[in-house]
Amino acid sequence: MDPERMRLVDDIFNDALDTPAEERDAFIVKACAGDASLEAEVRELLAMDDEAEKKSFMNKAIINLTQTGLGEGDEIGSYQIIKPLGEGGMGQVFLAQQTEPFQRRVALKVIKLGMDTRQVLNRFKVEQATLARLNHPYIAQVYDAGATERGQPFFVMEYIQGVPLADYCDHNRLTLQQRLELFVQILDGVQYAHQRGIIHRDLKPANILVTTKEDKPLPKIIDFGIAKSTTGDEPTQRTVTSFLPQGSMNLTSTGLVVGSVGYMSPEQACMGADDVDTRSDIYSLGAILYELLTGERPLGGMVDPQTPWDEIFRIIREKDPRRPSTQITGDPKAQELAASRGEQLKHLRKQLRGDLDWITMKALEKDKERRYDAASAMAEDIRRYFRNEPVTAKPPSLSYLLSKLFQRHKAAFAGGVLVILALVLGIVGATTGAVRARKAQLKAEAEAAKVLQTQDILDAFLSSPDPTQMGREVTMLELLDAFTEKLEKGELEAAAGADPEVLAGVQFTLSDTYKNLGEHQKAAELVQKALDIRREVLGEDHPDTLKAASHLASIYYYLSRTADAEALIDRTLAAQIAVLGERHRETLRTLNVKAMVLGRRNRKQESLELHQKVYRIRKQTLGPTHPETLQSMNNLAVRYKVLEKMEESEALLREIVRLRAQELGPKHKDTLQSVQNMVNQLYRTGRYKQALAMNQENLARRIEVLGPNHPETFLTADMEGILLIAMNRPKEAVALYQDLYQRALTALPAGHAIVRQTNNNLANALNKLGRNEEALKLLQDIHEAHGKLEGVNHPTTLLYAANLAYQLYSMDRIQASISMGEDILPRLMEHVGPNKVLTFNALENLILAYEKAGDLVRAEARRRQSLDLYREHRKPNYPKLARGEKHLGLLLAKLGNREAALAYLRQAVARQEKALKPGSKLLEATRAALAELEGEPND
Amino acid sequence: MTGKDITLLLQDWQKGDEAALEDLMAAVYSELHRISKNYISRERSGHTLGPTGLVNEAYFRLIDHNRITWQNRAHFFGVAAQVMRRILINYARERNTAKRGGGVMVLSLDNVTDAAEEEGIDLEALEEALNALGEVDQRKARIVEMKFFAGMNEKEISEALSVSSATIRREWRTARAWLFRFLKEGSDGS
Repeated sequence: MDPERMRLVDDIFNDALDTPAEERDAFIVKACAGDASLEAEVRELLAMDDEAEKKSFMNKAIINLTQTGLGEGDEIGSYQIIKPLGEGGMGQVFLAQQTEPFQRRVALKVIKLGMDTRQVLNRFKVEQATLARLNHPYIAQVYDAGATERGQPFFVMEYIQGVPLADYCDHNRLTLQQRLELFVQILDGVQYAHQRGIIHRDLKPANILVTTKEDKPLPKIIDFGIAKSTTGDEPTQRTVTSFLPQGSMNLTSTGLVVGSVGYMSPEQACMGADDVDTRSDIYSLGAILYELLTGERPLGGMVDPQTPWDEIFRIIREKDPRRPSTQITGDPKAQELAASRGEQLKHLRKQLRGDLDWITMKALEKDKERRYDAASAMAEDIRRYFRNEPVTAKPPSLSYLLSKLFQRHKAAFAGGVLVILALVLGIVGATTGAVRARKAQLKAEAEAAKVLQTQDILDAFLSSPDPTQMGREVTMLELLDAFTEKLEKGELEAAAGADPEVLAGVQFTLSDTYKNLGEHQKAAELVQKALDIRREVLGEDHPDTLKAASHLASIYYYLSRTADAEALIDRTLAAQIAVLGERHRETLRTLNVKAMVLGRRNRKQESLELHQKVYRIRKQTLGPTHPETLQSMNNLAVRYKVLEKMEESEALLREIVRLRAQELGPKHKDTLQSVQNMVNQLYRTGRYKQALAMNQENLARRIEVLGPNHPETFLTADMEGILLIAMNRPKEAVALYQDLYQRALTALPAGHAIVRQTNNNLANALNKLGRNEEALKLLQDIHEAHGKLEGVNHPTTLLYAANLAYQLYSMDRIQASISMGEDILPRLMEHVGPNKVLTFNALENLILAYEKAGDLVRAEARRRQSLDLYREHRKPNYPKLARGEKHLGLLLAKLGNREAALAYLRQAVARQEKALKPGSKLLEATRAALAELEGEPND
Repeated sequence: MTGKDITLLLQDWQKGDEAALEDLMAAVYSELHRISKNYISRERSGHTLGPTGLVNEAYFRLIDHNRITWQNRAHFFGVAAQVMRRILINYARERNTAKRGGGVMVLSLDNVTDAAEEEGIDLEALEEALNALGEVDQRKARIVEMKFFAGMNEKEISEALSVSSATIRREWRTARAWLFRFLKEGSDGS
């Protein structure tokens, strides 16, 4: 039978089954419309169906992978199943009759999924004694545990004929006061268990059933301690079970995780980090209170069943819920909500605002140290609220808010933009107030300290985006620009109380931020202004003036204004040594810049020695693990590399990894960054296999520590792709990049540079696979997008352009490739530099394109140009130089200039003889080319 | 194969890359084999690991739980159903040809084959029938597989195959009648 006909049979057969027996015959006749064989087939299948049904043919699965396979009437030990009560991801819950030693109804929970039987049982045996002693009116008793014949663990619990908490409150239209009273009872039950060392781990309204006793609500917390005993030790187990809600009785598998979102504490939403304690339950209780008050789960609106787990986790860890009073303000059903609590909306909001907001939010703190340390403390605060006494939960102070914003910004770069705005504007206000206070000489000491502190936070905060680690953040830049513009217009000067010192401080900080974002021109302008102010107000030799000068010198370095940098450094250094001494931190910074400038001037040995000196003093004065000491080590590693002392360089990089791991822990993000530097070193020195292994490990850690969607994680994943391409495994690279791209779309802000970077590498991999059209399209897109954002002459835009030219070349679109190459070459020389590999490669590609087009004359001219660049900017043993000379020789031979050709080929052989091992294939090939030309008759 | 790879394969398969299925099955199969071997070497109590425990353990080992959605879960069990079908038919064949002891999977499949016998189902004949059905209508064969060899419910199957539960229910009914006839004719004929 063909598939088409099968579908037809399918439809008629099933429709017939759905048709009442007396009309069925007529239906079939009509539906088959005279097709006798169709009619026969349908009738036959109906007959078969009838027989199969009678015999219960295949009605029962012979293997049950997803179900417990238990049902009504089944016996498990001394329990007989009466009916199923509910189903969750981890298990099925049945109502069962216990027959021995006495008759009673119990709730029987059978664990069905992925649980290692022996492990669960062993753990449960340990827990069971404690759980059995858990005897409290508000906690459902756990009686027994065991394993079914098929080895599935089960738990036997007190059967509660109750209603889930939230339903109970809403159906009975409990007032705010009644809800809070009921909640305090729950807290008492939790406190009782916590005192016995038992954590629930999955508290949520569905796990709190409410029954009625003497007309009063009686809460019963179910599943206490069960989550713990079903949580294994192995990482694979832990990652799964630590967040799966074992007690979910009424949730479908799809709703499983979603059902727990908002109740799960941030530490439980952390991969691998198992530092769950009683305060994790406090968080869940805070979430339950939140829902009782507002009718919404905290964060509940941010996820849906399609949200992947990692995204849900990120939200739990990073997003703050709105305060309850704010939440109901934004709720369209607020009137109804208030009514169901027996309140006017206005009145409800007023009641929530203040104490109840603070109590709820204190329990929901991301940092468990800031939560209530016990359920009883939370209960006591609610009782204080009842008695109209001040509660211990307080609105957060300004400095706390600032530090929190700062932390969050560091942890979650992508979400930080609005935070920065708030902070930048907020800080100026705070600073201003403080400055005025100081001027009025009110509490002068304390306020001055506050100014400094605030300034420190501003410094640290705004300096934190580091493009070398995080990729460039466009929106951050725009924000800074807007802020700087305000500053220029004098709007903020007025706000700063016209205090030039404060203004200079803000300018300095902004400059530092621009510097970190790679916007050196703006950074220079701003710090120049700060420097002018400080010179005028504080004098030439004031430490702050010198600091600004030193900073400007380092920016000159990055702007390649090396002579300006040198002049400024010499003056500044002399003054700093006189005023502060040679070992002062600021002096050392200037020395560090000086060492960098020496390196630029190719005074390699002096540069190395100065770096060594700065490193030595920093180590002594700041300690071996201070960030600036580590910066020195890093700079030294770079110098060693330049001097081709690879072993020393690598040893330093390893030492940085070791120090950071020791000081900050192996999983600290800075440690991971230094591992990444190590990977880059391995990659650059061609040790791909080692690099890949190390990178994969680092990737796993970054996912664990920073989350899968953090820009740094993306960069590590990106590196994996680069390595795969280098190892000629483009297929894997393509898969990786496609996945990365999908995730980047949702995880990173639109237009994030990493997305383009990823796509650039994807294009590279696709090119290797011969999937040229796809690669071309990608490159065109990112080239255009980057050009729009950063300008057509931005180095990265030019990189994409160069790749595009190469892609066109790969596709034999030679003329297009040539005109692209000609177009970008002068721009590369100007904006990227004549000494950069990117410029070299673009030129090499252009030469190849001319040659392929048969334009040997132009190929020769460009070849000579590239050789000039190599000779000027690289050492005589630079491999491309010899190869280029060989190529020029071959070109000249084709052009009929035999003498010149021979000269270049001999030159290439001579170079390669020096640089390469005897017998090198490359060398042999060059020799062969020379020999061939020598052998040809001279015409 | 890592959890990440498996998850990627699942996603590929979900997107319609049928080649990914073979890789998936191979990965699941070898993981099952590995677990059951480990299990045997560790186990002393004589407790046997049933297919459910085995597959679920494989699920937790194979899947990258950071990235999976519940739809992937259904897909995974869809693959496992096919693997179980293969394992079971191999086992039944070996049992029927009295070559016991050399079975690939050292786990308690006797219960399963016994259960099939009790239900009057000849696994080898069913395999033939299912193959025939698959030639006419691939999806119906898959539905039978998931329902019969994995105990997946309509909702789970609908997630795995991305069609409505109603379609699953209807196609199952037709498939069952179709298989019943095939088996009946086969036994009548022989």
